[in-house]
Amino acid sequence: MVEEGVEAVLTHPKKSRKWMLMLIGVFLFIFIFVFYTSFINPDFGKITGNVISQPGVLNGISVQVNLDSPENFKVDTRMDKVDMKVKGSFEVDDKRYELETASIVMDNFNGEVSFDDDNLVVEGKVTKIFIEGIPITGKIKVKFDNEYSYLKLGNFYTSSFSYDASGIVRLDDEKVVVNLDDELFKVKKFTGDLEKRGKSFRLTGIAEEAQAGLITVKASDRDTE
Amino acid sequence: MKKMEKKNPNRKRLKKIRYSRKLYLPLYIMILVLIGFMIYIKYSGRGINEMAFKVVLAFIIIIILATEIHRFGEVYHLTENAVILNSGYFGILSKRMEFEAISDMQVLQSAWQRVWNFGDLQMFKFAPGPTLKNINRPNAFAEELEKIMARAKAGEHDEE
Repeated sequence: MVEEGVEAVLTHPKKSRKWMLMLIGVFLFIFIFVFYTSFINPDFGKITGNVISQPGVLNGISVQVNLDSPENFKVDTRMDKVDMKVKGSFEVDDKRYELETASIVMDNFNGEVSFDDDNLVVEGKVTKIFIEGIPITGKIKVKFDNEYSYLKLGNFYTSSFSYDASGIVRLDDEKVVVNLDDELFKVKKFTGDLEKRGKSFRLTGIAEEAQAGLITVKASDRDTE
Repeated sequence: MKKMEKKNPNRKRLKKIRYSRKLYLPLYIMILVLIGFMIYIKYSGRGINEMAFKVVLAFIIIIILATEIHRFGEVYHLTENAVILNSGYFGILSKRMEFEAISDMQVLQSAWQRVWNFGDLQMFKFAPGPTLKNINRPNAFAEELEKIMARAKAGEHDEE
């Protein structure tokens, strides 16, 4: 007769490491993703192109002007890009930068820009700023009150703007070309670019209405034709 | 209520135990590393990509929810006469181990568990029985359980 024995084998229960390995994988993926989107490609996942979130003119008349500079100009709006060359110190995110001259490019600016012949005042927020080519990203407060030699505002909106100007105004795909000599230039509901270099003042864009001297072109008139 | 207590004196619950949160320390460390990394990015003047921020936020929320839900999957009750192991979320499997049936106990701890003082307590009925998994301070709990068992057994002998 064979004696029956009881054998108790104590073993450590096998624990599944599968979940932990998967989680480590997910964690590493997220860590690398955050690193990539912050250090290598900050524009990852962003929609390219411009979204018009301001009351722009969809079916306006084209405006191209090359005039002498207005005595002063002021706009308070959002714009895609501000490009300028300034002299002296300025503030970016409450830090003061002391530079003799600086080339500044700002993306997604929202705030106020005003200028006269000598001075430029820019105050607002941007998502990205390049100071002499060095980028800073984030929600950045900027404040400039400087002499300047160049200014370009990209894709901004102004409800109305007028002054007595001299120079060439081309309206409605150059169907109307007017040579102004200290005469009224006026645009209403303008969306586009502005460029000022020295005494030269250029506007390129579309407007609901434009007036050059005695000639007025309205988008609404053209639509009814 | 008094009647109930008289009828089922062994149902008086002395302690309720769940998985120790120390079990999830690696996951909490992952969350802290991601938060720390994002703070570093912010203070180094770089922007945090919106999509990356959302992914990190989703990861943190999922981890916290998953760990808390996982803890609710297993509950151990210590009564005056038995250990009850409840497992499951909607359908519950309740194993009851009377103190009289427990012949032996063993504490299982990995190196990581020893560092953080948590582990498993396995009970024997002359053969491997149910395990209280990932409990806090398993050695102290085993000693406490032994004392309760001794008291319970002494009480039974007194009654006899």
